[in-house]
Amino acid sequence: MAERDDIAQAVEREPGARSLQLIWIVPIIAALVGGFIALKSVWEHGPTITIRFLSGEGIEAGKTKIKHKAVDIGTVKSVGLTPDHKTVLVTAEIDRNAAAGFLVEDTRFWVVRPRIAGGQISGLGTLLAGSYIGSDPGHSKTEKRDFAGLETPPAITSDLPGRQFRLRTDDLAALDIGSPVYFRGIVAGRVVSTEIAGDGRSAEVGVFIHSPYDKFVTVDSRFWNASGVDLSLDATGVKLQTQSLATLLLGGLAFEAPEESAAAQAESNTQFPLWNNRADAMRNRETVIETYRLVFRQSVRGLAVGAPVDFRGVTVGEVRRIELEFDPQTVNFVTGVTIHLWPERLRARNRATQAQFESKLTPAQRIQRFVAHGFRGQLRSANLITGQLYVALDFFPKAAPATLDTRHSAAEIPTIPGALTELEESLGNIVKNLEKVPFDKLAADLRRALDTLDKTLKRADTLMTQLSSDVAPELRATLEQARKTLGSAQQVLSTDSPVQGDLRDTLQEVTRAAEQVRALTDYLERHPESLIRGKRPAGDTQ
Amino acid sequence: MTAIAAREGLLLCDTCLLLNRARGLAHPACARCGAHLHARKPGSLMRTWAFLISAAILYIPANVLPVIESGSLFESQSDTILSGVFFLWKTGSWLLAAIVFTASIVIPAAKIASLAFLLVSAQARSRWSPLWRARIYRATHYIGRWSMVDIYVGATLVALVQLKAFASIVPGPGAVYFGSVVVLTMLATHSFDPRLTWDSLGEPRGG
Repeated sequence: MAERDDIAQAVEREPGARSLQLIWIVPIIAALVGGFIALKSVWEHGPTITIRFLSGEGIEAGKTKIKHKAVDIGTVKSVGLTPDHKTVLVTAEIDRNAAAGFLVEDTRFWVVRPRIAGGQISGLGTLLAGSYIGSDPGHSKTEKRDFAGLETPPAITSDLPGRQFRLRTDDLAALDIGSPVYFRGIVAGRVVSTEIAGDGRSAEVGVFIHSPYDKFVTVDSRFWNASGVDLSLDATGVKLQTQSLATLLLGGLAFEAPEESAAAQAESNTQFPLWNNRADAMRNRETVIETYRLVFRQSVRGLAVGAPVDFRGVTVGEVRRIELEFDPQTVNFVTGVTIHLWPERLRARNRATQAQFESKLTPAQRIQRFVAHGFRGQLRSANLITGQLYVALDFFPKAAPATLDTRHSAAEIPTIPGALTELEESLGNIVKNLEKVPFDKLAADLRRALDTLDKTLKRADTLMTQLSSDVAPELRATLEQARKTLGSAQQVLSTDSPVQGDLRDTLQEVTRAAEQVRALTDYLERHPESLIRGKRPAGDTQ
Repeated sequence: MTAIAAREGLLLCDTCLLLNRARGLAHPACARCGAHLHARKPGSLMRTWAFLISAAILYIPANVLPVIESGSLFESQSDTILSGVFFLWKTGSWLLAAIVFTASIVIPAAKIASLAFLLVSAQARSRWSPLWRARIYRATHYIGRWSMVDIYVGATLVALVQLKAFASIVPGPGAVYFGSVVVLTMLATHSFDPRLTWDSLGEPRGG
């Protein structure tokens, strides 16, 4: 190959100190960055939890977020069914930062969907953006990874200040989660849960009272159902009570402590009875209850459980149980009535006396003493029309002596037949006597008498016809005669009749004669001697 | 056998393209512009390896981390390249999905793979079909500029959709890594000296 002259000759020049090894900084930096990202993702890779829901509606794997206070704290990774195909199993990853102290036993999760409940509309945003899983961290210290999701969002989140209480009721009525709880007309809390108590005999309502108001819930506070209208009719007239129009539609509760209450604040989760209305709720509650039995040998139709036990018009207890009991001695049934007696209502006026009375005697002994003085139970009619009965306790000094029967678990207070029963008995006696009356004989006699009467009447009838035919003409003649006689008598007695004139003259004569006689007697009174001596001359006076 | 410039002691100046005679010089420099002259790009294999390894490392976060974070009034969503492809595929835009998948996932991966192959074969002085290897190199070089499609779309969207509260799109951390991967693979392609592919042919077998 020939060398060419037109090719420039390169010159010698020392290269710079730059090392080619420096290029390895690039992959080192890349490795560092990559490693950092990897570490970060491992570090931030939060725990995975599972949540069970009844429905997977609106939950999408990889898309649905788990939020707390509208902040994303995790993402649903997968949605599947449990092996028994009964529940939806949602697997989600929670951000590491959020997970600390969040995933504990009482943490709650629920699906936020648009819903209308308790007068509130919530989750409207999810209409457009899709559902998400709401969460509320618990206070427990026990970590948990497997959760049962709530089907409805909790009305109260755990970080709200306030306390929760439980109410027991027979009937939930219109109450629902979210129903307001009023305290003197202010919404002080909400119903947070409704469930059937374990024994299935009552419903349990969980209420949450917000912070400033929860201190007004004392151990003797009364809760009542404020929904609807409370219409009452009593001696003061008609009363219509309702909390607000909203409660009328949505239901609601109210609570209040009794007027003179000085009780301590109630603990969280204290259980209260839920009364049907305010009047029921605010009635005095008996703290001391004694149980007694009363045995009646009469019908207790009209006596109901809950009927009052009355002492001279004051309710001192209530009927708790009514049952038939077989009495083998008389081979008959009697009715056993178990009552609750509230002895606090039967107190001595003087406190010292009361203390002495109470300390000396047991309740049974006390009643025993009453019984010795004629304390008896009696069934009385509360309402003659409906036939309702109540148990009356009173002193009957004339009652046959009896004692408190303490052989049974509940001491038995002797009874006497009720007033109505006595009336019934006497009525019964009357009826029995009536039964003895020989009505058939009486009827025969009556018929005979009526026959006789009939005959008599017929005879009287013939007599009357006879009278009208025979006696009447004669009677007429007689009457005419009588009229004539009366006419002549009238003639004689008329003013202008001669007899009258004569009579008048004669009477005038008689008057004159009488005057003469008076003059004579006057004169004789003054001059009785004139009878012997004769009349004196006119001027000669004594 | 055809003459090979390097073996004849002839070196082309990379800067001013002047052909220099450099036989016998330890550190030849261009007679005209003074730039250092090299028979082959100095440290080509090492540099290419360095860029390639960096690209391979960053390829992982580029695909794992979200490239675009979009937020609307009610939700926010972050998409990686792959989830974007899935989204496009599911919504029926198959062609678009295919384009994005090819441009953003297949091409970078193919570039890394082909460069690695070229490097290994050059290092091993392989005599396997240098013509094909040259074609592969040309294709890699050519195609490199198109792998920025994704970043380009993202950058456009970020600039266009800025309605603040209602909707916004911001680039995610993955975008930076993705861009880095593209740049690094281009650098790797650039630093690879395709002449290395042919060098083995001039050597005696087994030498």
